[in-house]
Amino acid sequence: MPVTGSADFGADDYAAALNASNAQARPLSLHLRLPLRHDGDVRVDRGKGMDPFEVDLARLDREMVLVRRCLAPGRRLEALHWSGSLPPWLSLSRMSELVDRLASRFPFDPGRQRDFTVELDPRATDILTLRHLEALGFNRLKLIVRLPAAGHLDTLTRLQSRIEPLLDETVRMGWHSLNLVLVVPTPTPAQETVAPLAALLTMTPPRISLRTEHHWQEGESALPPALLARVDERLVEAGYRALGRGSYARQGAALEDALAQARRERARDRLGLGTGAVSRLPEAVACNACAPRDYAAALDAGRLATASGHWRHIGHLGAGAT
Amino acid sequence: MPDTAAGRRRSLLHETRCRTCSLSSLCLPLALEFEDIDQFDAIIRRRPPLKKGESLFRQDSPFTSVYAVRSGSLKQITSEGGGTEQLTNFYLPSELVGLDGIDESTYPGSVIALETTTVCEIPFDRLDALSERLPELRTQLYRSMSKEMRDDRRMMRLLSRKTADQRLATFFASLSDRFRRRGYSPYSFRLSMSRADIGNYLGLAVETVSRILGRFQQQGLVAVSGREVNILDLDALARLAEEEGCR
Repeated sequence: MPVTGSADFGADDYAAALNASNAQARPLSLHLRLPLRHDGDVRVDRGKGMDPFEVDLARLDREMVLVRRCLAPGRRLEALHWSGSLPPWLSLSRMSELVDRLASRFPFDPGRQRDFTVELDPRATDILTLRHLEALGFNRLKLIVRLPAAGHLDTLTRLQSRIEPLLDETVRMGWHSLNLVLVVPTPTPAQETVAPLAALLTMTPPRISLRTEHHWQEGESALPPALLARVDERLVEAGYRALGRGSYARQGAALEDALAQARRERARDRLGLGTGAVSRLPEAVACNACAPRDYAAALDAGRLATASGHWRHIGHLGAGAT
Repeated sequence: MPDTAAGRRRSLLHETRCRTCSLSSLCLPLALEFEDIDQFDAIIRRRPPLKKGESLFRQDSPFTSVYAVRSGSLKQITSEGGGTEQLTNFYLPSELVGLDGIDESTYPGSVIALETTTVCEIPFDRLDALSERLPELRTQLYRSMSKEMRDDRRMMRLLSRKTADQRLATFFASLSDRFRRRGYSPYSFRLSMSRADIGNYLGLAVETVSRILGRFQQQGLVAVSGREVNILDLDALARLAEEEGCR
């Protein structure tokens, strides 16, 4: 659900909520939203002789330091979620660098309850990238797929040929889950969605989610009710069960895993890093600036990039309370 | 024999005999009686050393001989349509190269020296004829083929079920075992292959190989300096190699 809280909620409030979260000291779930900038901004930094990756990493590191400062030292990271699809300039060695930086600021929990999810575009991902991400600790994969129109058989076949090897690899290597996130252009007649969906179902992915073009990064589907009903019907018929609006898991081990992961995630404090990232703490929900320029300006000025949010309990007086 | 560099080299080549070769107890003459070794020795062609990067033979060239590695090491590269090259084997001293060419009478991959390497060429028609008369030689040939099949199955299991960490652990444990069998230290050896070669062989990106090597060093499993490898905890490495799938 999008955070539509008050713009009065700012960086100090978020810092106060982070401090307050130490009382329960729940495990941490870090959601990193990439990329941190628009493509055009890369040229700006390059023009100034700066490596855009280094600039982004320095900003992200500053954000991590500011967040970490508010958290008790013993709090560990149980879940990591890289969302927004990895930018093409994020090479394998830079992915390693990013994970190392995260691990140095937020010690990873060594236990078996680890849920490390990465979102990838199957058109830009190969098996070697997947194996590298596995070596970095990732064990859950989301493939973001723009659903082609029913008539575009070639596109669908090409997509399937990209998805299938990745799906096989996750099964072979024992990744805990694969979620096929289908981005549906709207408005689209129900049949235009259900026909290609049926073709993708032949690959029997453990999880499927359907999102609309403008809301694909959010947790819940914004599909029109009539379309959602058709999708529900088709997926239930294929042996899937709904986990929430537009999210499904295959009955059996995949469903049990999805429910167990959701239970674990509810018991964690969610920290959002990056542009538009959402943090969910026992006391408050906070959202970072969505515009890369605002996000960068806040961090360059040495403060958290919180742009909006709200306290979860009526009567909370916020950071300024005495 | 004239006292020239070429003459001295030819002389050295001819002086190396199976009877005096330190690898004879691991190579094809392993099971032969002392007097039979000379018969085997007579069919062998000694070749001048291969320089680093030089091909022993090319993919799809006619199969004529198998080769026993005497010193150095080689890699086998198989090209498929589309220009992608897959590194399919590494060969170390005493190992036989070219057995996979018998079936189709062509070599299925190019074999290239990773360093200065010497091999003994064994023309296959003569080996086949000799093994008719020397059953121990035939048995040893079968053993070598069987070992190659077993190694291939192991490799298939590695490529189909193992994570990147487990793949590299398997690679080091296997290299260590191969060096041990040849009487070298199983704990300390030099890699003749590059990290890119290791990655290609194990189905990993070179960045992944470097990453895991770094992790193995942090975990105290190995110490790596350039291409020098010191295995610090062989048991732990072997345990990791035996695991399967995600942790």
